[in-house]
Amino acid sequence: MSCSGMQFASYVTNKNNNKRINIMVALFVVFTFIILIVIDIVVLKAQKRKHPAFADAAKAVFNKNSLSLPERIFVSKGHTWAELVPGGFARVGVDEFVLKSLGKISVNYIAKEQTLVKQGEVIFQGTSGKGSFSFRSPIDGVIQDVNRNLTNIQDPYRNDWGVIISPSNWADNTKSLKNGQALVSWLKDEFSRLKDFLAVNSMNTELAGVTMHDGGNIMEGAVTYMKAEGLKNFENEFLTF
Amino acid sequence: MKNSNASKLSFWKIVAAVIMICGLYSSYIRFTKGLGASTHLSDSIPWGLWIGFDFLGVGLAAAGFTIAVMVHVFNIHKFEPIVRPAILTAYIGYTLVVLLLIIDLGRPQNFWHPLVMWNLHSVMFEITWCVICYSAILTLEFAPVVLEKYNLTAPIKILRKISIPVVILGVIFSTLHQSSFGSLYLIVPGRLYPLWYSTLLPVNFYISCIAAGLSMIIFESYLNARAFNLGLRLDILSGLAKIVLYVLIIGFLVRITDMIITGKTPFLFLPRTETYMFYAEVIVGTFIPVYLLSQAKYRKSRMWLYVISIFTLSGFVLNRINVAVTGLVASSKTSYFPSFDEISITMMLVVLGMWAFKLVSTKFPVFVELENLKEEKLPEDSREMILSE
Repeated sequence: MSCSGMQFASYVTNKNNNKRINIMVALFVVFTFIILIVIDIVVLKAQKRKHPAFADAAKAVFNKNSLSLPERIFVSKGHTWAELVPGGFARVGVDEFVLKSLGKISVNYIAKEQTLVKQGEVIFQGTSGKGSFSFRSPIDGVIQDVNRNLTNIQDPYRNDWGVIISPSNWADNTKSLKNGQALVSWLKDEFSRLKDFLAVNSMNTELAGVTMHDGGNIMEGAVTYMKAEGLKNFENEFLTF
Repeated sequence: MKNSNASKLSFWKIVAAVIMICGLYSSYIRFTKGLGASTHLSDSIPWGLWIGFDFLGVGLAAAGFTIAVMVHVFNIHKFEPIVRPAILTAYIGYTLVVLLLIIDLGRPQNFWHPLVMWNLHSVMFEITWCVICYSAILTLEFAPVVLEKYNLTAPIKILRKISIPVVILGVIFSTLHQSSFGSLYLIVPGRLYPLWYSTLLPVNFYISCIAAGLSMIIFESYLNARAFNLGLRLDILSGLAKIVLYVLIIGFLVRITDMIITGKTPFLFLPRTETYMFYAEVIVGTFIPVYLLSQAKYRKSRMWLYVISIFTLSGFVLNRINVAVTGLVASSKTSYFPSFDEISITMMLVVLGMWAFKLVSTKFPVFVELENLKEEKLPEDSREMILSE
């Protein structure tokens, strides 16, 4: 429709209507919407909580679907992995599940070369937040090499492996390790277990930034927000076997 | 899903309870004493806040079909985690709109008439049938969520087989009635203020509802994160925000081009309240969001995404209420402001919608991620099992 000059003129001369529409419904609705948002932020502040929009932006989240894992690795119930490499040796490290649960792992101890280790014995230790954690060997054998560049674990399956072991009981050891589709299924179960664990052990779930709900995401490093007892329980339940 | 705080009294629960009591009282007045006693509507202004809310409810629910078509038809699986919340939002949005329409009808007991008394030349007839059909489609789209809860695999398999035609049907019905809401106002060229009246109103309504629907999903993600302590998938929300940017630009270009072609630009300089409201709508709902969204640092910021979604939604609210109320008040020679009953019933429905969303989310697996494992096609030596995208 083309706008006629008469129509324009009628609106120019008819200025009385300005007074009639002084109460604007549109503004009322928008201001109600905005005022409710502002009140919500104030209420959260009074409760010493943070609105998600203003929460710590650095915290990423993870879930059972956001992990990847090399096809040939075998993972222990203590979340350490072993992978055969050329020469009949096995490279060993920490899996991504633990890395994401703790957020960041600084390694402060690695077992020495030529040390004889049994499956389940501590091979390296690290700290994350206020917690100190021990990681256990997934296999029996003799440590042939250690990763001297390992200070912070960031790339758990490639650059940030821990030790190389000459396996002495590979066939038997791998019976208790997870691989392939069994590993995928087990990891999914581990996520459910982690959510339950966080629900029980976190004093303040919102601080941990986790959800206990179906399919919800867990904030990276959620475990490190727990108190000392919770951190100890995490090691007992997820890193020990 | 467990919620240990369900029985705790909170500020918002008290507010919601007060709103519900007021809303129920107003509903009683409306159904016992009629529209005249409970609203400020008149023969001059027969459509007010409630019709505006209908526009908002349906428009904000547009993410249901937008996200569904992106994931199921165009296979953009990045957005899969938000399909269910989007469909649930649409489902609840449409249910509320239907409820409010029944309240708004002069004779609510006759609400079923369009089902059997067909008037094929009426836009209202098209809207009624599209809303009914799309609500049925939404039922089919959401059914797997309920069936999963009870491990009813056989009907889920059937629904999966027909999912693509169902989604496409949903898009068709949504497109028809989202635009038809604009078509409603084509019958009032002399009454609707020229800055809002256009023969392209159906197109404008359709384009703007896509931007608003996607913004609503962004805004709703923050509400969910707040209510359920959920994490935010900023990668997904940023992706949605980018689409919002393009849609807002397209919508504005269509609108301004139409205004230039139809010679309405002089109205932009007329010192009238309508002009100021038009500028408020465009600045809040288009210029500011487009400026912010065009910069990656804002688009990827947790705080700014929230702020931008508020701007976009506010602009959408202004647009729809401007069309439904502001643009008609001048020609009606009277003023209008909703009555207490109109406001309290509207707010009661908003509270009901939020309660419904929370209830369904806590009882059914709405917030789920991809369950299907996928293998990334990498060279053999670096091949990995990928648990998701």
